[in-house]
Parts: sequence; C-alpha cells; structure tokens
Amino acid sequence: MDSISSLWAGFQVALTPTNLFFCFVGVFIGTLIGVLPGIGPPGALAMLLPVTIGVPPTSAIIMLAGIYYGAQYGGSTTSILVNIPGEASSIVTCIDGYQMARQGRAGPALGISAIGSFVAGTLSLFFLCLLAHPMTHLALRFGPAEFFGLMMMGLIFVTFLSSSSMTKSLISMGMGLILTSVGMDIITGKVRFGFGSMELANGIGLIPLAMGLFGLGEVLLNLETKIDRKVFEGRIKGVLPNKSDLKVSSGPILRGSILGFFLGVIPGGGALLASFFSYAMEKKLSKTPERFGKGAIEGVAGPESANNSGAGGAFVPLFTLGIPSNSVMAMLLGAFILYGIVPGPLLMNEHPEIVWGTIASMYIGNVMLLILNLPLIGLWIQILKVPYHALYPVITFFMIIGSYSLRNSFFDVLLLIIFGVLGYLMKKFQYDAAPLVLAFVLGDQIETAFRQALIISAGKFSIFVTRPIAATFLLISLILLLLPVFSWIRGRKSIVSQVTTEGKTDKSILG
Amino acid sequence: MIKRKDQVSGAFFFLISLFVIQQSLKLGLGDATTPGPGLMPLIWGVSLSAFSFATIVKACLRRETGADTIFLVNWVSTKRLLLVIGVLLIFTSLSRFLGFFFSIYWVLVILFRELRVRWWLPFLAAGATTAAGYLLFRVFIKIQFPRGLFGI
Repeated sequence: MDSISSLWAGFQVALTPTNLFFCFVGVFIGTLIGVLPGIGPPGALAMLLPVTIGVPPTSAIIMLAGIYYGAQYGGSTTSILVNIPGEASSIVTCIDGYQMARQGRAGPALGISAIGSFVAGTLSLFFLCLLAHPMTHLALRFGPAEFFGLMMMGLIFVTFLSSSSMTKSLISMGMGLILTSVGMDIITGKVRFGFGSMELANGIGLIPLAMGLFGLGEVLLNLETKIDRKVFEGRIKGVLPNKSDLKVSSGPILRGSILGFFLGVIPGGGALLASFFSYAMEKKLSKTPERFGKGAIEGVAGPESANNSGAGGAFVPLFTLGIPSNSVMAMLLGAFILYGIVPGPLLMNEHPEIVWGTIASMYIGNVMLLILNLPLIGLWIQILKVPYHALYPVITFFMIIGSYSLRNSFFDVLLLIIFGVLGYLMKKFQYDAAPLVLAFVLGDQIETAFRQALIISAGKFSIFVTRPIAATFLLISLILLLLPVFSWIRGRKSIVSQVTTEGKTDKSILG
Repeated sequence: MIKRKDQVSGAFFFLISLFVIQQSLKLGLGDATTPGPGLMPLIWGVSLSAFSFATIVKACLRRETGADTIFLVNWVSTKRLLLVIGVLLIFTSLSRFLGFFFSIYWVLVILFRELRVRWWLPFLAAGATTAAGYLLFRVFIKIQFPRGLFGI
C-alpha cells in the first residue's frame, strides 16, 4: 500500500508540464546517445550535468535517468541496422538482430526490441516499487560498520564482474580511492595531496574526471580507429512484429525482464551482464538452438528486455541505500550531491518527490520511448549517417564547457584533458574505468564510515567482524577477492601438470 | 603484447602507490581511536601496490608469443591525437586572455578541419556550434565566461 500511494504521488510530480518536458528531453538525448557509437551514457551524463544547474533537482534527475534508460533503447538500433552496438549492453543484439536485418526483417527486429524494452522497463519499475520500501527499512538499521562493509562489497562486486582482469579492475578501484583523498580531509580539515595548489585543496571534481575518462578518452580512442558504418539502406517495412513473432518472443521477454532486473540490482551487474545472461539462457532453453546467430527473434527479444530491465534494477541500490551499482548510477549519485541532496536510506523519507517522481517518470518515459523508437526510426537512421569527424568536435566542445562551467575553473578543463589522456591509456592497456569512477564517488563515504565505526568502537577494528551484517558483507568481499586467486593457482597447476605430462611423453618417445 | 603492456602499466601504478604511501605517512596516521588524515590513503596506497605488484607478477609468469611492442604506432592517428590534446592544452592556457568563445571558435575550426571538402565548412560549423553554446550556456544558463581581449 505504501508503494502504491507513493507511486501515485510520484505520478503527480512526473506529470507536471516541466517534468514531462525534462523526461522527454532525457529519453530523446538518451536514444541519441544510444544510437551514436562513441559516447556512452556515463559520458553523456557528465556532459549534461552542468546544464542542469538551476533546474529543479527532481526535473534534473528525471532527465538524467531518462538518458540512461533511453540509451538502452537507442543502442539496439545501431546493433540491428549497422552491426555496431551503440551501447555495450546491445552487443548481444548484434548477433541475431543484424542477421534479421540482412534477411529483410529489420522492421520486426526493431519492433520486438522496442516492445520488449517497453515491457521490461515497465516490469522492472513494478519490481522497483515492490522493493523500494522494504530495502529502505532494512538500510535504516545499518550503522557505519555495515555501510562500510556494504560499500566495500559493492566495489569488489564491480571489480569481480568487470570486463577487464580483476587485478586490473582492483588497480582502477585503488586509483579511484586515492584520487578521492585529494583535497581537504573531511574530519581533520587538513589538506591531502594538495602540493600547495589552491585548486587541488578543493579536491578533484567528479565531472572533469568522469567526462575525461568516459568522454574525452573515448573521443581520443575513436580518433585512432576508423569507424566504418555501413548503414542499412533498404526500406524498413512492418515494424510491428506478426503474431508468431510475438508468440515466440513473449517467453524471452518475460524471462529477460525478471533476470535483468535482479542482475541490475547487483553492483557491477547492470544492463550489460543482463543481456549476455539472457542470450545464453534463451539459447539453452530453445528447442532449436542452431537458429541462434542466424536471425532468431528470441535472440533479440530476450537480451533487449534484459538490458532495459537491468537499467531499472540498477536504481534500487541507489534510491534505497545511496550506493551506485554502476558508473551511470555513480554519476546520478554525483548529481544528487551537486544539488545538495544527501543520498542514502533517508532519501525516500526526506525527498520522496525525487525518488517517486523519477520512478513514475520512468513509466512515462517508457511510453515516450516506444513512440520515439518505432515511428521515428527513419530519423535515427539519418543520424547514424553523420560522420564521426563531424561529431567529435561538438562532443569535445560540450565537454570543455561542461567541465569549465561547474566551478568557472580552467583547472577543471586541465583535469578533463589529463583524465581524458588517462582514460585513453586505460583503454589501450585494457583497464576498466568504471571501478575508478565508482570508487571515486564512494571513496568519501567509505572513509567516513570506516573512521566513524572506529570512533564508535573506541578504536576496536573488531567492530567490522563482530557485527553480523558488516561481517557478512566483508566475508563476501573476501571470497570474491580470493576466487580469482584460487582459479589462477588451479590454472597454473594444470599447466604445470600438462607440461610435465608432455615432457614425460616426449622422453618416452625419445627413448 | 599484453604481457609487456601489463608489465609497464603495473610498474606505473606501483610507482604511484609508493608515492602515495610516502605522502600518507607524512600526513600522519593518528591512532585507532582518532584516525589521522593519512590512514585511509595509506590503506589505499598499500592495496594499490599489492594489486599492481600482482599484475606485474602475473604478466611475468604469462607465456606469450608474438610482437613485443607496447603500441602499434600509426603515425597518422597519433598525429591527430596529439593535435587534439595540444589544441586543448593551448586553449586552456590562452582562453583567459583571448576570451572563452573566441578561443573555442578557433579550437573548433581546427577540430572540424576534416570537413574541408569546402574551405568554408569548418568555419561555418565552428561558428554554428560556438553560437549554440553561447546561447545555451551564456544567455540561458547565465554562466560567466572570461571575455578576454576581444570581449567575447
């Protein structure tokens, strides 16, 4: 009942003309970002955050959230028509979506992806409403030790599920935690790593950091590679899937929605993992798995539903615990802080209009996306034809203005360039930037929780193991940290035994 | 190639971690009841050193064949890359004196240079983008930008 009345109040917030406008702007930009390869939702959010200064926080969060779930819709368009995923979470859609387009079934592929996304988006919001209140009540019982354990577990999960190797992700995380230490110490007021610079004493801003790593880094990388986009030239007919398509796809859509949501809640899970799992599951469940990879509509319906549902699920830890589960949510958390709102379990009680207004706007946004994505498909195809060398100067321009405008500081523009180069190098050396940003955002909270816990316990480190919830979180973190070590040792043992066996065989052959 | 990349990047982060450890010791660690400002950076520094050391060890133990170079240098793309970074750095140092929008216009003219199928196209595209940015950020959002020598 609580959730229903809260949601009703949320709709009253979301349906105001201003919020409807910002919701539309968000999903429109999100679709655009999803369609255009070369800039992802975290970079786009960082770029647009400065634009939202002066906008009411609820409207701003509604718009920023719209960019995230809108990008999931848009990402499928490029996957199906160009065989290039606009978003990482749409990689799987390329496999069968592009094959469908080649067989003249681009319309049904786009249609089922939009319908699946809509159903999944709506279902994930339903689950979000169900979970929101119980999770908040649970989180209100947490003390600093529990929060420290939870945040550490979240970070370790992100590194565990990261696309790069775990040690590299841990390095990325460590760098984020170190960078967050730059500036004034929150408890003693002493400047750390300031080196006499006034700007460094104020700390490193999230916007230049995120924009550099996700935006400029990506631009620099794309300058190296020629993006060859052969856009689908044929006429797209019959966007609405036929009865048999719908019948075949209904199961994958439902399964993808449920799986996606729960994977979205897990830190580091989100839309990307959800789409891969869904594809694997559908192939496994199918009576004709050989059709997968050759244009099976289930291969589009399942992952597309899962990635949208995953996007919805990712909001659960942010709204209820104040903990971001991926880099986009980290940007949203940064937005909350920028607007002077303290994220965490009290957010729902102190700012219900933001939480429930955003949740309700996501229902409305899903309808808008359905309208945007089906009839306007021609427009997105035209946008796809814009060459990258005409796009990147505009992206760079917005990043420069965005990084300057928050603090009217050229130092932030310099930071943007430095983190841009770092982001580029991290990609070249196969380091994932997401753990760095997530650690950077959570770093202050982790430190505060850690030090508060020590102060409360009169300096006893045992507080982290004697409190059961905190101990459980830290134990899970430890297991996640040690798992790759064990598998690495096992892998090396098997290599050694293989080499020994080969050596013995060689010896026996020789003599 | 990955082996070499991991060794180089691991060593880079290991050096950073040593620097962080040294700096955090200077900041003061405090004690368990009143942790000092250097405690957390020390913990992060030690963790970073462990992870980067593990990356180096893993890379050294990896058996790999093939080219042992860090980058596959493509001079054309490297030139583009250096040009963009250079232009941005020059912009950062000069725009305070020349004016934000004046400087950024010229940055855009350079970045749009690949549109030079017609000589005037980069100038037009840069002008349109600058004007749009000026309207959005200066006129509507009312952000103050340095006007510099030319007043724009």
